[in-house]
Amino acid sequence: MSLRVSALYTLKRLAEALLALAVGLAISAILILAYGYDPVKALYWLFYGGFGTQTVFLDSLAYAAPLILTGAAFAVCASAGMFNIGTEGQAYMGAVGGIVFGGLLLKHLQVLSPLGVFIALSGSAILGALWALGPALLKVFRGVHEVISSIMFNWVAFYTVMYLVRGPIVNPARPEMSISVEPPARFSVIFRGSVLTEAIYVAVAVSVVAYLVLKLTKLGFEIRLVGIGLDTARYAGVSTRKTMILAYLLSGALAGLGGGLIVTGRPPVWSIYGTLGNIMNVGFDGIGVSLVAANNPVAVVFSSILIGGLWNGSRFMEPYAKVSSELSRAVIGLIVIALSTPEVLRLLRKLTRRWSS
Amino acid sequence: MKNIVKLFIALSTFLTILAVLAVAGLSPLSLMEAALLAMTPLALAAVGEAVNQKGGVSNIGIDGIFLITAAVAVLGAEDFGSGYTGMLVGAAVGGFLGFVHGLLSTYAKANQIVAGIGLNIFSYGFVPYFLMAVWGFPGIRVPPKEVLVPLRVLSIAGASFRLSEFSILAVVLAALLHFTLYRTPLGLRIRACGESPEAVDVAGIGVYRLRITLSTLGGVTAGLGGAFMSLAWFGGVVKEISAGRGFIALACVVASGLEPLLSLGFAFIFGFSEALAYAVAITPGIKEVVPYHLVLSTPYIVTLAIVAVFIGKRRFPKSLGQPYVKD
Repeated sequence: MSLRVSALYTLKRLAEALLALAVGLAISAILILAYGYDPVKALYWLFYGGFGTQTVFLDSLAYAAPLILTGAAFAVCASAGMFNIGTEGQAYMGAVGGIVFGGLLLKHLQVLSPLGVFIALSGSAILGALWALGPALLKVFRGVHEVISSIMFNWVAFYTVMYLVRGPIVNPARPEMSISVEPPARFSVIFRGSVLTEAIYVAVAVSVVAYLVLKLTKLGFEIRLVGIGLDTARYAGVSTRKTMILAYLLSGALAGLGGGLIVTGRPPVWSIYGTLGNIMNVGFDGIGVSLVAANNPVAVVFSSILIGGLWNGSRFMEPYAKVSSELSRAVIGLIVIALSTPEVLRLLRKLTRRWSS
Repeated sequence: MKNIVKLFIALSTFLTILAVLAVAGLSPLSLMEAALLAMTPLALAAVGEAVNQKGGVSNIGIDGIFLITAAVAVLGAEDFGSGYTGMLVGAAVGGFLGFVHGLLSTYAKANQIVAGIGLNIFSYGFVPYFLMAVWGFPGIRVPPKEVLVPLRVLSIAGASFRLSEFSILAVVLAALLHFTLYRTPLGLRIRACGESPEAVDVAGIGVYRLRITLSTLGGVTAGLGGAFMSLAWFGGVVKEISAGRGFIALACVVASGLEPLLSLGFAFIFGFSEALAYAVAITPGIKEVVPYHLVLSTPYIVTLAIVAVFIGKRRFPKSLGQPYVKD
């Protein structure tokens, strides 16, 4: 692609994402109004709380860090034409992997301490990938649609992690949470007064690597071929089964890392709450992140900041505009619905062009 | 003949399982009671979605429809003072959501899976907001007993057995839809709509209109299922009441190869496994040995196993999930 063409493509996708955002916000404003709240106030606090000051923006970046990875996870699978809705469960498992490797293992093998973060995150990646293996095998060998199987795996992960954090890996001193990762496996805070840690560097670097793998390596090329069509890929001599499984494993590892970054990279808890409150939804929101970014792992970095900002801002919407913070998830859902329909977006573009001319 | 033999084998296996469980100390009657309650929302949604998919549209957003209708049905029941109006409100809202999904999947040529995912994510955010906005209390609403849908109490061999008329409705619907699909001209059109919409179009029948109608119907039955959960089964709504059951309903649909009657059968199996899991989780003597949370994950594992076993033999409509584009 020439520079001009790719710039045009990027602009078009950006316009699409912004349009979808506008649709999502407009419908949410109607919903806010319908229940007697003030939509202007609510949306003001949603954005001011997410992006308004330097402090909140840094916190938004902290929220964005794990989303970058769960977003990249969905994007990698989408490149192969598959929907990894299992990022949620894989992220839970990744968080557990971080605790087991960065907490239990490091405690007993202190000689590994200099590699602390690396050890914890490799635990996350391994467990995330293992959790993705099930849906991948069911898809390839039994033809079970990955959306159905991975949701089942999400729920099994939910109950399994619930069991683990209240049983085998519970913190004996504080039974409302799991044991924490050891200090050497914790990322340090970048600016004092914010929860943003160096974890975000890892998130950005990994998503760039994921992008390069997709664009430059043989595996990436095969993944994209499978995404174009199974027959095309087979005709080109690609082993479609192997490629689909590898894409799913890669995706699971990324989602696992996303979960791992929450326990290694977000002060002050460094562990999993017994309610799973701090790791919940990080996988599901990765779906929205990736779709807004047109399933491009590098664009995911920017869309994560948007969605991380919505997360963070929603905490301000609740006290100041009295609107339940969870409405931000409804906004994300509406954005996804808008992005599913190229026709509606095309129609809207046509309308806006007519108005402007 | 072959089917009758299969049915006989399935029934005798099931009775054996019940007998074994009875020996282990779990009452077969109360297990069946719980199983039918757990089956009903799955069955209602699955039979509607099976016909919807036969027509070529697949709605991944059933879980979201369950969740939203479970919440609005409680409001409907409280406002009109009766559980049955609540069920109607659930059906209407479900129908509306199905209609929107139908519009997106036809005229707007949406990627149906992405649209369905969007609907689910929307519901996970909208329902907590809705609960807070309407009742001012986060995450849960328990309506007064009078506005719930009452269960009929039958007596079987001296013991009481609670049953909902909506469980019977699910069975009747499954039979009715099966009959429509295979014994009426409309059924032929529906099946043709999924296999080769071009042919249906050439025959002068509107593909979009038929698909939107089926989507709406699927939404109505899923909406009944969601309303059933909050008004007849749990007696209230929590923000995660659907708990992935929409996807279990989808599992029933695909494992049955889009057959309404067969998906009813799968819905019963999943309902039974859920009833069994809860019974095991609270039975003294067992609950001390097996961790509560792990037991609760068994219905999902059963779903995976059953889909993996049965799906291999199924054949799906050629244009399922594809937007139809007129030339």
